[in-house]
Amino acid sequence: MSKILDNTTGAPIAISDTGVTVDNVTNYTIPQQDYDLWAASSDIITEIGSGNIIVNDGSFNLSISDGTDLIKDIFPKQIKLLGDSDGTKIGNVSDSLKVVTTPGSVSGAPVLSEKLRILSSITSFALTGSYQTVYTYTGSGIVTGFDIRFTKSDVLLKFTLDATEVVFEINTSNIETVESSFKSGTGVPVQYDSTKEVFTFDPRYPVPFTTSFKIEAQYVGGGAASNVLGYLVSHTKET
Amino acid sequence: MGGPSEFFQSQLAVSASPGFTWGRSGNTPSGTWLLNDTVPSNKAGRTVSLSAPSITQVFVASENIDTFDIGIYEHEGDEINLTLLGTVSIITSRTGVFNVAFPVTSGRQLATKIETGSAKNVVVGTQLAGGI
Repeated sequence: MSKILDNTTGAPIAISDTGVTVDNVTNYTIPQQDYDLWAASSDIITEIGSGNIIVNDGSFNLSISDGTDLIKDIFPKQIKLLGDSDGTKIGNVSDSLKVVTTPGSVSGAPVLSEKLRILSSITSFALTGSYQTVYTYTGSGIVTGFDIRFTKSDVLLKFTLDATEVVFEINTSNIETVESSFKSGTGVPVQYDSTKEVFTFDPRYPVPFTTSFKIEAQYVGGGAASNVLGYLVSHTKET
Repeated sequence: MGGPSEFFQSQLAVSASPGFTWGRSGNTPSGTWLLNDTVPSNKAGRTVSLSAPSITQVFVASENIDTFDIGIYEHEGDEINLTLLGTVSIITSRTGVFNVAFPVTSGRQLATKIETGSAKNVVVGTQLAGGI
């Protein structure tokens, strides 16, 4: 913490009992080795009290009371801090501490914006034995969930983030088999309603993506292929 | 013209009084009084006890190559009857030795100040002549 004297008048002020004249153009920084000399000065207290000299602690101009305390080596009653990188004030009721998070990573908090969109389609098409795109989006954002309705099960579903990150590749019949024993709601955010033939992905936490995401499906059962009857997808569009 | 005893007295005083020094550490701007033993010399200076004293030499030293003027003053304490005796100028140098003839009032206190310019870690000394 510095001790800087700002002469607010239009003329130099001699602080006689320290032997220093505080210029009215250039602020005077008290050398650390002179702190005791200034702490014992009555002349500087007079000038601070009259408002002719303002004490700055290196960050803030101090009040008469706090400035006097600082010169006397009594720690000011008020503690004021500035953020190191951008000078953000910290310490007052309305001040805030800035924390920078990295969106789109596992450890970082995903960006929750107001750009949430719900997309739907009731276009029906038959699945084949190779993956077909049900829905894809290019850009960045977060996926909050989706539903896809089929005509029958035995569909292999694949959900991929950023072209290469496969979140899941799962057969709807497997979900049915497991749920027949353990029911849903076990903490795994995928369900398949065999009555309505609806697959649901309902993640507990939003899933961030930075370049794209894609939902693909293929039929892996026998007989007539399953059709996609429609979907609902919920995600944000950051870019 | 004085006799041998007066001359001897004067020379004794000269040899005994070169130790009037002042200093100020750190960057020292103009208008700053130098300290003697941590006390600003304008408040309490070096008391001259010689009779008919006169400053015969001023020697100055600073850490950096600085340009500044040193004022030599006398007063009665607390700047009462503060009087400038003379100045010496140091020009882009770390050291200055000046032969001067500044009459001093016996019993008054000597003080030194940076009149113009600035210096870092500056020390000023004087040599006096006079009777004892």
